[in-house]
Amino acid sequence: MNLKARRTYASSAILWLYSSFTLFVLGYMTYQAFRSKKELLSNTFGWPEVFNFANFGKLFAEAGFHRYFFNSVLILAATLLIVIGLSSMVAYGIGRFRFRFKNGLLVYFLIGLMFPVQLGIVPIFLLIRDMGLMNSQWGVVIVLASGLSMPVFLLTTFFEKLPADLYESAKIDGAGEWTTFQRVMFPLASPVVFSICIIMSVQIWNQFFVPLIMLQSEAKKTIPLMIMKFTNNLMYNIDLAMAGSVMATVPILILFFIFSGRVLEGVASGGIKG
Amino acid sequence: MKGKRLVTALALLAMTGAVLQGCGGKDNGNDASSPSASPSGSAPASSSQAPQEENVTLKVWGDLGNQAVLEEPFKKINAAFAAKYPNIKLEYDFAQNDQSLNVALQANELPDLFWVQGDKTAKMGEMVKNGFLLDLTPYSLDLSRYAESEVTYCTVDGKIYCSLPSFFDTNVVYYNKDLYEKNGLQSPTTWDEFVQGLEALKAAGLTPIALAGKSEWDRAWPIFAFAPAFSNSALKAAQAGQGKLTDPAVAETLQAFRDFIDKGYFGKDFLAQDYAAAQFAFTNGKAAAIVDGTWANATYVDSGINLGRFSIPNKEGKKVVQSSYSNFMTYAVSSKTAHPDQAVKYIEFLNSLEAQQILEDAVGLVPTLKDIVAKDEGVKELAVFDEAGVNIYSVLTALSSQESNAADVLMKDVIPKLMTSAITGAEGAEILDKAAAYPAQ
Amino acid sequence: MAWFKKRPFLWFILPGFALYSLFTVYPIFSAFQISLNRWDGIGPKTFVGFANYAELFGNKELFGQLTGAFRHSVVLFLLNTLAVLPGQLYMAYLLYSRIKGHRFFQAMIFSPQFIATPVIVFMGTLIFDGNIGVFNKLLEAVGLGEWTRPWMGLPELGIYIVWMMVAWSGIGVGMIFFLGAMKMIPVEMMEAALLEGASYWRRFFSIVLPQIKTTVLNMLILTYIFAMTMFDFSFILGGVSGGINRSVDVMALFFYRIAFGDNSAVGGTMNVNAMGMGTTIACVMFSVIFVVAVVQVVLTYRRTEDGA
Repeated sequence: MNLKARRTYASSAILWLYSSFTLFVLGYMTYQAFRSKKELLSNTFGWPEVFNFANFGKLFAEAGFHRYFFNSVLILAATLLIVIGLSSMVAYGIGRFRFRFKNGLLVYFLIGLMFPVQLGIVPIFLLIRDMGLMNSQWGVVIVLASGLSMPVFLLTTFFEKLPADLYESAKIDGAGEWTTFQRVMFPLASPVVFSICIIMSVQIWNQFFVPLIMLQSEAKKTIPLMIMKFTNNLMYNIDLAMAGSVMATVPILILFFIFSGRVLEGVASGGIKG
Repeated sequence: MKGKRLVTALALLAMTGAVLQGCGGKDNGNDASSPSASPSGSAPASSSQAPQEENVTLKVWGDLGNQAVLEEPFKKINAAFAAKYPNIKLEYDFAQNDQSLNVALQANELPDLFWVQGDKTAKMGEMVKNGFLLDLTPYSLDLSRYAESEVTYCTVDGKIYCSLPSFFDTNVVYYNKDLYEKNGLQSPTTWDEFVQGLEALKAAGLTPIALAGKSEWDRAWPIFAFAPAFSNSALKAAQAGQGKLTDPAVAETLQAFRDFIDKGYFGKDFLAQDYAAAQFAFTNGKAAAIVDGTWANATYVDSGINLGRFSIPNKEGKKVVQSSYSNFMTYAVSSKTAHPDQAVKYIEFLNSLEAQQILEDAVGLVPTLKDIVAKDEGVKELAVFDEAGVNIYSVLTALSSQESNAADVLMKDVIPKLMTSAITGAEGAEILDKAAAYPAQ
Repeated sequence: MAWFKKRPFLWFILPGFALYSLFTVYPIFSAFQISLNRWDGIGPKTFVGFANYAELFGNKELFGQLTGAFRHSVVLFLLNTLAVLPGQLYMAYLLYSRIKGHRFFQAMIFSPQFIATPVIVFMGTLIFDGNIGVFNKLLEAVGLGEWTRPWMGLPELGIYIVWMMVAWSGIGVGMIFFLGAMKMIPVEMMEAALLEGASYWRRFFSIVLPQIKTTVLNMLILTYIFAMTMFDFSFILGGVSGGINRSVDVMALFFYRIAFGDNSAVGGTMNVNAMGMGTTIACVMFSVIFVVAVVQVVLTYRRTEDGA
């Protein structure tokens, strides 16, 4: 089915312009990462004298990039699993069933977004300490996983809108509540869930305040903390800051490019079948 | 089912991460393990004979904001310490900034040792008042190498609470020797010579001094440097309650800044520049000089330009510089530590020449103690001055009250107004005077 | 057990509810309790009832900062709603219709999200700076030399520069949500419209928009909340004080400034009532956001219940 318009040249041009600008920014950042500190400082805008990998080498050898990377990945994967699991359950519970405090509960879940996390950090700190999870990635996972507000909010409306007959037919087939949820309703939410996954992944990946407070030793720290280490004395570390930013951005971006295409396309079979 | 595949993928990812983390974890940050060649200790460690040989672990928090600069030297310092005291293990982490310290204070989870800023801010005093710091006076630390003001840094109510500062931060003018020579200029010996030089550079089409107009602290460095040059005694008098900030010398300081702005010595677009942009202007040769702290020396050295430094001379040709102590080596002990004696050993080590020389060799700060050998000629050049003068920010902080913070007024009100040519130096001094709370006579 | 069996929804809600309440809601109550005290964060607390709130609204200086910051946050919200939201819808629709190069566009539009905010500001300097910026060099190269400016810091433009960075960084988020929502529109509907001969943009306004109405309204709520709590860019561009004349000050930065003070290598300030006033500001911030968000939610859900 061809949904394209025949005359989208103007729009096309706008998109090309905008994307090229972004591509240029990324490209320029990458380009600068290949230059030595001396060049970056004294000849900031200019052709490189030497194109070298020294910055990247330094990033891995001295700065131990791979450690930060694995911490970030671990926290991301675990948090994402918990968030999707719990929030879809909550959203289903609120959206699918009729009960007295429905709207109130929904607003209750929105509250989390409205408060700066820096303020509530001390009670959280104490809780995590009492659970013995200080300086552990799992402490960070639990705290970040409690950020259910956005996914719950978005998924609830989705589940509400699903037609009741699907639900009825599953029940008639003898499925219990949980099976209905797991095999019928949750898979239908795939498009929204995937969008949420993508957004939440980025937010979790870029988190720096909670890891800052919960993780003390270098071996446990995440990538944003590594970047912060460089940007605190930016000009002094300009070479590592550039290389670090490239390593923290480009590989993920490439992954995103590969998977999002497949993910969102596979979902294009959208809509409800019969 | 797509959903199932996603879940499995994520779980696998998490497990991989966990496994690799476990492997990587073996070489995690216990920096005390690798011994490195350290100079033989010179200062005697005046410790009480501690007979216990039990193995003790101390948690130490380092300065997160300066981690990139301090990582190397502290690795060496901690290794030297471990070699000296094999039964004391150090868990040194760069985990401390304002926020994490606040959380630790409120949750009562302070590490055994952490860095403090002495009398530069009110924080250490507050912590002492509320019983968070261990009194170090009973340990009879060896203070023979130190001057009185250094001891004052660590003292609250007559008692010592931290290791002593041995380095000195000040603001100098970094200049591009090539650009100066091309215009027939050299490092000025008097104020007038300095200003004439700026005029010549401006005529040559350069920005004489780069200024980071957007950055609250970095744009104030010229004033911090001018203040002791012009109004050292006036400020000292005001702080003691024997003079006022409306003293013409203070007005002169602020007016000098305003004049530079009006005459275009900071260039045209300084209001649009942040710290990075100002530094770029200097390192790319668009600006001939920049006023910055001694801590930025390494960055400018790395840029490869022909770098020179001088402190601003006053009208009589004397160089009176703003001084504040570096807090890179000033650590305090938590009053709740389980191992006070061992913690104090670390303090003593930080007070020793051995540790201080390690820091100097790595970072290149200006040492205050005679026996620390400067890292190179560049560092020596930073330390060329005649007299250590006041830090205007500290003076104003001392003249602040709960209702009115004169230091804040300078940074957030007076300086921006000077920069936009909205007030004169005299008017600025008036504003500061009104905001100050002078000590009673 | 029977009570639970009759209400299966409780099983679904409970685990998430527990975790969320413990780590997200409980700290809010804790903070509210602190706002009733006078506390600098280190020493003893002194109970003062609602005195902090009175001071916040009564003290000219503080109130001035509060309204200034609030105004900037509102500006961000309005700009996001009026300029960014339509942009997101526009781009989502184009991508939905598989315009040529859509995978490339998708990646590019979303990619700024992966870049850390200090780096974004730094790239801003590298590109738009008066001296070494690429943009000015480009202008010179094409002969438009007189147009070169110090783009980064014309002071009056402060909050707009912040907004541009926020927009560039975050536009991908809304777009992805809209795209996902569009993909859920029943295929038959679009096919029917095609057969009827509806044009490309006609289809957008009469079919796509109404179908994703709820998502749009949800995004509006989220945009509002986000604009009110934005912090990073203002902090990096203006420092703790919020820029010259507080031109980039926003609510979250105002809170941070009071609660954590201002520090540097040569000294710093410590607010006597840092935590007390800080939590007060956060609670005020929270109530403002809360009230408007609730109104939005109620309106949204009332409409879908009648209209859907």
